[in-house]
Amino acid sequence: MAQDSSKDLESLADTAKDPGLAMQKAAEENVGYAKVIEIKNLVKTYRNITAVNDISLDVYEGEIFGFLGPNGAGKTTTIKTLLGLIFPTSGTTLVLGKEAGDIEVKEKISYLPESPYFYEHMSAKEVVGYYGSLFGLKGAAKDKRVDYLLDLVGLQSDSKKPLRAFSKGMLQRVGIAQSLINDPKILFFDEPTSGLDPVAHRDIRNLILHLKSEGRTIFLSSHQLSDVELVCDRVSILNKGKIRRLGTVEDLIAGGNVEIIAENIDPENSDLGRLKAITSNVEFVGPKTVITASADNRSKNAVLDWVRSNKGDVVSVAQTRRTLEDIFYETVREGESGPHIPTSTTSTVSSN
Amino acid sequence: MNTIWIIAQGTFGEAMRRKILNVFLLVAIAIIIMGFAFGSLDPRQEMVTVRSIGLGIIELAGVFISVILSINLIPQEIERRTIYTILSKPVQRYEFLLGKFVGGLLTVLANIALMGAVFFLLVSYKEGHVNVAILKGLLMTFFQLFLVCSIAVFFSAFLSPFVNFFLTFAVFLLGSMSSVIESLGTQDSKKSIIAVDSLKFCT
Repeated sequence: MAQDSSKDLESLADTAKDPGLAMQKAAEENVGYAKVIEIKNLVKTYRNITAVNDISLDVYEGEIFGFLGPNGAGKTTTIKTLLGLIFPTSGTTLVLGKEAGDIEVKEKISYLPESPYFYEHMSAKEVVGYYGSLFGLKGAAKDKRVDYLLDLVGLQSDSKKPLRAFSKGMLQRVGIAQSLINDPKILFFDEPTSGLDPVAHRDIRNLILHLKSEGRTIFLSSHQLSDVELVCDRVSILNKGKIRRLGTVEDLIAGGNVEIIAENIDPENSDLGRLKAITSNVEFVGPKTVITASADNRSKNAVLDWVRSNKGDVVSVAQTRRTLEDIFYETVREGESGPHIPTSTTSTVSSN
Repeated sequence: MNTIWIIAQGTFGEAMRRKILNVFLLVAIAIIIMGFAFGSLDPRQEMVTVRSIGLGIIELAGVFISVILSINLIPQEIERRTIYTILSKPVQRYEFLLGKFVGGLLTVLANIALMGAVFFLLVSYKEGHVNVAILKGLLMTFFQLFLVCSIAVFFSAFLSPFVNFFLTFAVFLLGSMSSVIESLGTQDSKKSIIAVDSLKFCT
């Protein structure tokens, strides 16, 4: 027993030293679940622009996987590659054990694009039926499935209205209905709650949880970080074509933040760039400077060293809880202001 | 085959609701009716003029419909991102392309049939008998438009609709002038005959 505890401690120490090992361990926790998506060294280049730069990740059966990143990070490109809509420049993408884009795979997956457009002359019933026909559904079986799905997304009473009369939220619901027409094993949702009112937003979030409870895997790309934090089992954060963070939500937000309040720091200080490379947030409030950083010793000490070296006075140091939004913000800022400093050793990965 | 047909039906349904097609249709029908206003000519001359003008107008309206429809078939799907939803379903790329093409052809066929039916009935009424030559003329017009659609869809794969519009029209005009080009070619050297034949083959 004592030996086991000692091993656990050793393992923890190793993990703290090597973020890559942390990722491997996180993956090992999922042993027993089948990998339904495998991305290995994926690169996608458009002429001289590299949209996706050597990313590797696995998604396991039955999980909701959050795929985050700022605009232009490479999220949609990765999703399109997984759907077989575009071809990778190099690397491999396997979905359900087969090459992405394989017709047999497409029978078992579905896609909800961001702001979906459908044929406006059709009604909701017709458009969902149209997509059902592409899966070979016909006759009474198709009608029954379409009615069930429109009922599920709350559109039964509007099912015969043309889509041109639909609001954005209603179109989004049609999109979800069409994405379920084939009873898919994996759903790729690109911004499913974009532009929805709070009620519709909540309905769709609940629907995603309902779909997970049915054993489906959901690959969710979203900017609604509060939703992602609530529903996702694991999350990856992309920036500039590379995966900067990967792990469970708990791992990513573990450790919390530290809020350091300092005085006598000049807002025009020429060395501020170095501070911003370390911390997620620096704000000047009257004579005080509020610096928010990761609570790990390395980041905290780096900030305190910076304050002292710039002749500032530390007024207080207080620990706060981190949110996924903090992590996201931090990750994006790291990409903008230079070197990557790991803030959560258990979840930071190198995509190479 | 089933997938191609489903996509073709969807394309046909959408295209028939596009107002631009209806405008051409109405204009074509109106001009055909106007084509009968040649009462001052002697009856035989009048019917020759009416047949020529009628078929010419149907061909011109058909070309406009074919070009405007075909140059947008694929780019519009990409621009509106409908293509992503469809290609994420068990649909091969060639099935999608063929489905769109067949849907476009069905639209052209329906328009030609509608204009042709009006024209055929009026000519038959005026001549007092069924004129099968009109049907042959309409059929050949459809084959011509089939080629125009094919060229426009082909160009739409790598050209913008704007460039495609002029290029497809240019090909149509060159093809329509093939008899003129041929006569020019026969008067010139053997080399130019080969060039003209190649051009004819392309158009």
